[in-house]
Amino acid sequence: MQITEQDLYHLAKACAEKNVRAQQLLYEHFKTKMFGVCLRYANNRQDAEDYLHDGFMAIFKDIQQFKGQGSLEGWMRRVVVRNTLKNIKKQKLIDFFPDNLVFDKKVEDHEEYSFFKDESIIDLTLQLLQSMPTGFRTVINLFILENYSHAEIAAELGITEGTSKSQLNRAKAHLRSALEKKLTE
Amino acid sequence: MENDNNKDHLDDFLRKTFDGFEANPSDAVWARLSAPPLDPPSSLMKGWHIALAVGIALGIIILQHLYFSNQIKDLHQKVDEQNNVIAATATVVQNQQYENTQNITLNSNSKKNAISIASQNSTMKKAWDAVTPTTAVGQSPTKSVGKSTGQSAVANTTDIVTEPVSNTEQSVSTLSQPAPVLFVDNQTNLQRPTKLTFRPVMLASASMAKKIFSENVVPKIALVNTGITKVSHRSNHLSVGIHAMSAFSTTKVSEKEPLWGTPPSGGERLFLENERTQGKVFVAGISLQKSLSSRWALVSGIDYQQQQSNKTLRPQLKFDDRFKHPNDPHGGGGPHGGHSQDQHDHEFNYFIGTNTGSYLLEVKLTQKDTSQLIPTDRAINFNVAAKSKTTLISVPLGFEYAWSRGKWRVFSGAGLRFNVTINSQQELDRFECNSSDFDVNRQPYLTPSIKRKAALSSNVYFSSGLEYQWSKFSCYVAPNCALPLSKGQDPKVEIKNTWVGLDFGIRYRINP
Repeated sequence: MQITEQDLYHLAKACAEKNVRAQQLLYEHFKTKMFGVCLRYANNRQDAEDYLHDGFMAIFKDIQQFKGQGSLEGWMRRVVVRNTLKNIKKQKLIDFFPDNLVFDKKVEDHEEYSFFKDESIIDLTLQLLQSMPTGFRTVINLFILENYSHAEIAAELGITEGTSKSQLNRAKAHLRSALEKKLTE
Repeated sequence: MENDNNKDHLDDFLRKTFDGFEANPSDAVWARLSAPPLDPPSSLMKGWHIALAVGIALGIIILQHLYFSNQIKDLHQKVDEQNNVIAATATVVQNQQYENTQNITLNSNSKKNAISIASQNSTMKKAWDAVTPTTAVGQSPTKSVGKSTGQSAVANTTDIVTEPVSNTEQSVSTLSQPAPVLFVDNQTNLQRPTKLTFRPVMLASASMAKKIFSENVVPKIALVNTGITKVSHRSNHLSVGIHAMSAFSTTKVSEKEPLWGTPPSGGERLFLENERTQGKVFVAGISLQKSLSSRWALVSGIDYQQQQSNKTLRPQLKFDDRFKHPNDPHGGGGPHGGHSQDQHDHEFNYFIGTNTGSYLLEVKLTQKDTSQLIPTDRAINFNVAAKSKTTLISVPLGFEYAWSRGKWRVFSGAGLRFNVTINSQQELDRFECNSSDFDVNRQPYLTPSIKRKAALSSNVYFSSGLEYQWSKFSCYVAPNCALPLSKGQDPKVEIKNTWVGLDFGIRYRINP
């Protein structure tokens, strides 16, 4: 049986009424997708599970705010991301490197990565992403994967737009280098 | 979004790599999510219910105390005045400084012995009037028993019952001469208007009269006062006590409506769920009883309550009730969603409601014969045995109506009992799948030792009992029953908890 958006809306309403079974079904339905999001922001799997836990706590707490406009998944993803950023900031994990004009120039990217969406590439990329400094990883996630603008990132992380741009460039350079190295091994 | 960056191959690579990226978290995440209450403990906010009930009870007790304290003070004053008069009169009698030529009239129409005094100016009359201000029933002199040395007109006739009756009657009957004896009975209802009991009040005893006459003294009026030896006010005492209760409870849990949608297999619900739990309730605590009148009393206290129950659930699920992941084309279950599930593994999430919250039971079944196509309406029977233990603090608040006879007191009462759940634990005892088509692939996971804070519930109770009083202590036994008022936390689940129990305890009466 396919679950429609209408079903999900009813499920969200049941969750808003604090129905535990509905909460469990919602969790079962979205846990893999939300955990995928959390893994991208975390240093490791354990931290990702913590982010997932806190994200779902926030979802269950605020789900009455979801009025059925737009997709439930999109709303949940935003809650999880916002909550994860809150956790990262609270733990003071973000360590932005000082702006450096040399590195802050936009790096031209002529390399065309051969894309094979298999488990090994995903695991490798995730591993590289998780090994990056938290500031780099957070900016890459927000800008490239969540489509935040630099202004939004600056507002979210409490930095300037310039810092956001420079961090992004440096993060990409860092990741590109590591990725090319791994792919050529 | 900044379009120039979209041209980067790295950006495209990352987007494609993580597009639809999913991963499976460990079961510990849900265990942590479900361990604390998922809903904010709103019932904590309802603690004011208890505070209000306790406040009302205390207010009533304090007002009662203040009101009756004043009354008692006035009554004590009156009693003291009467005692003084009686004592003075007794002194006069003992010194034989009394007037002895008054007309004495025996009222034979009274139930027992009755003495009328005809005296306008004697000390006796004053004393008599002082101690019997409300018991005059009119004059009906029928027989003169004294030496009539004066006028026989009865100025004031008082109907008085002697006590003890047998002694009095015997003594009077053996008197060689008409007995000019005044008797005031223990049971004389001087207390009626004021709710006081004067006992015993005796102006003369038969034995004293006999002695007087045997010595050939001719006192026409003998007065011996034993004083007002006891004053009690039954409507103002506070009792404290300890009690314990053992009860047998039944809990019926039923889900009022389906959670969500209608399963393709038909019917109105995803899960069949109707269960009855039987268990034991033990209550121990402190009781308070504040009398409001001679018959009514306010009862309250605080109790520790423990409920233990063994429940057996026999859910019958349809095959189509299995959990289905939307990405799973086979409709199978499994925690891996659409990525790695086995289409012959089927997951059922069974929901258990208790009087303290909701619990989840997850089970995974593997189809034995993988070539078999199982109809969606195939019934799958489970046997689930679980033990639960719930600890509550409860505050009863109710009224009692009592009938007293001697030292025995029979009472009947009703009231509300407010319960605050402080702990609830549930353990899976046994799980079986009775369907031959499946093996239990993964043992069910029952949320363990869930603590739910301050879940408020209430029930109404009725009791009747028997109490025996000696001195200031009393012991009682009271069968009782309780019926639910609140329906639990989950609006979708209706829970009815009923018990029949036996309460017993001791009380100590604190007189004001």
